[in-house]
Amino acid sequence: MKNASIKVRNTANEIAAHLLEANPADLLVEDDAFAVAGSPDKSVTWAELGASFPPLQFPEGTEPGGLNTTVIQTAPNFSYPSGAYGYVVSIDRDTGAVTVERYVLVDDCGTVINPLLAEGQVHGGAAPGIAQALFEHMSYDEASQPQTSTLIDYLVPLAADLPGFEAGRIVTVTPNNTLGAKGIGESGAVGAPPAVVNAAAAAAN
Amino acid sequence: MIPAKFDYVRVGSSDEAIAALTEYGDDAKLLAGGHSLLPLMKLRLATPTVLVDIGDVRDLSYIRDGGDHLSIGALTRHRDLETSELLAAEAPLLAHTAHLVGDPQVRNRGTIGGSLAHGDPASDLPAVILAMGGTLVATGPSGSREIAASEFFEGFLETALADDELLTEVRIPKFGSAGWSYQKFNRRAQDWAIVGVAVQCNGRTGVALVNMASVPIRASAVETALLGGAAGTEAAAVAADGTEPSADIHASVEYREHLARVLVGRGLAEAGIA
Amino acid sequence: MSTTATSTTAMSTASVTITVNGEAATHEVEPRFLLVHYLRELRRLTGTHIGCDTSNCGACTVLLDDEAVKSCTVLAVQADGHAVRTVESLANPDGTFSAIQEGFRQEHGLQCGYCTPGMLMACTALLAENPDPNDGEIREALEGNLCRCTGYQMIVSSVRWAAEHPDGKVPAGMSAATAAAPGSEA
Repeated sequence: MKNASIKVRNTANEIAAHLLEANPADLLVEDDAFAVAGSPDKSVTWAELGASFPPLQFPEGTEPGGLNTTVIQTAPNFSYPSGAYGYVVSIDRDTGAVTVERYVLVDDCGTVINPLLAEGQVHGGAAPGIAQALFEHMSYDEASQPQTSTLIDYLVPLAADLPGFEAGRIVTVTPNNTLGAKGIGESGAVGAPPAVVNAAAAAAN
Repeated sequence: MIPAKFDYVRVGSSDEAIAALTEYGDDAKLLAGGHSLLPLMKLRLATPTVLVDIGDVRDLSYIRDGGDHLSIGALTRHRDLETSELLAAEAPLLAHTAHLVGDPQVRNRGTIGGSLAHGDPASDLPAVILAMGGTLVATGPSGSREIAASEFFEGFLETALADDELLTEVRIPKFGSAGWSYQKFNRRAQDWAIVGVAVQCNGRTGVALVNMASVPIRASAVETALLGGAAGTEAAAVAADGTEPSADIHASVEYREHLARVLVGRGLAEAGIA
Repeated sequence: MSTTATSTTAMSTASVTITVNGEAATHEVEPRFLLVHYLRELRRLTGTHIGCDTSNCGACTVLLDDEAVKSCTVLAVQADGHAVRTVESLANPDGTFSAIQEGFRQEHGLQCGYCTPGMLMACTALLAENPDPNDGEIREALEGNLCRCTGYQMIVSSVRWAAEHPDGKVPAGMSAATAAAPGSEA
């Protein structure tokens, strides 16, 4: 994504320079436009570049496709995200009820592009991960009929069943891609079940 | 999911409701909030041919101080029970438990009369009215009659209401600051109780159980033990006596019996019975 | 159904007049027609979603006379003569987001978005009744709405944002959504 973005930016710079009759090296990328250094009134927006430039009249040397770019990249290795999850659970010894009192989730997914979305991914994985440990279970009767075929019986947790998450982050970039980013989507779901089960086992002893 | 075909009439008063029930007999079902009946109809577990919609019979929605008792209109919604200052002062067990029924959307639609007339052993409010020693008022073509809550629940989803009768009012004593407790054990906040226990002190102590038989039941063994002078912990030990819980994917019979003993013990303690 | 309100004759079809988002319309429907189908198919308001169809998930939550209800468990005939509000009514007349909508944007209160219309309506009902709910009150008020993506925390934050910004206006330089722009942490 980063490489493709750089390529599009460079192509756009060439086209913008051509439109503005300027030297490509003299252009500045501003909020949503290219402008000529020292002449701020001479500028062209991304929208204008994309919408109004005749495709068959690209400046000489522009790659076919103009702003459309495909970059195919192979990574030399996988990326290895890591994290540590700490759960505090209480057990009601008389009823067997398990309650998650607190959970602290620390992930390292390398470079974070959008912190809000990254944290949302962790929460969204941890909730069903906890549910896998405590609530959710497909059960079948003796004739193999599923008995948990509606959300009345298949227990997806509610907001009131979960306390707030405490999420933290450390950043160790991976050398295996240009962004330095690692996966985050499944970390909550992978880490939560063993952490909850181990916490419950510890509380039971 | 769409229910099977049925004919529909919306009535504006309890008299009209009784007239419609008389006309259509046991083919007809009353529709109040619809949150017990419509899910069954969508699953085609119930297929009434006529629905008599009493949802707009607003003269059956009230909570009144009747002097030595409270009168609650059958179409009073859970939402109105949980927010009633009169109930909070005189019958806090009912206000508190109404707040534990389902979720906010359900409580905005569901009614106390619908909950009682449906007679589901897993419902919260029937046990509360049993523990309170409440009285239900049934109105039919020939007038009204009172039915003790302990006589009302006859079989699984079957009550003492005749086909042409409408549950119009629920009467409960005023309890003031007497001890009470509702113990609801479930897996998720919105779920039905796996086992529930209602305790209401008022001279004698009423104790009733949720989901411990095919009907909402009183914990007679516990009540008898308390009358005989047993301590709370001793009485709780017999909580499962005389019950007939069923097993399902959430709990075995033995687990339900165990939960009943634990929850009755907690309920009696919370209600102030040592 | 004013025509049948004083009759005890049951009918196989019924004329219903329902005000949806301020506009009244009259249709002939089968009594078994659910309110959620009425909204989606006859009023063409497809913002209201059908999720579980067993009154558990709350994706179909709308306001009926300003109270949150699950429209998969209400018959259209039950809403006859009543007023319904759907998610389509939430935005301000000028097209800008209401406070709760902006809250969901600022605090990332959704991922796939399927539960969002129901969540927004349940939250709207909550804030109308309790303009400054704490986290516990918010979680309790959302007991009727399931979300499979977010783990709920950012939905709770979204409601808090709306409570703290009742006009829905994002203070300059305070946008969490903008703060999350590329490069802000790299």
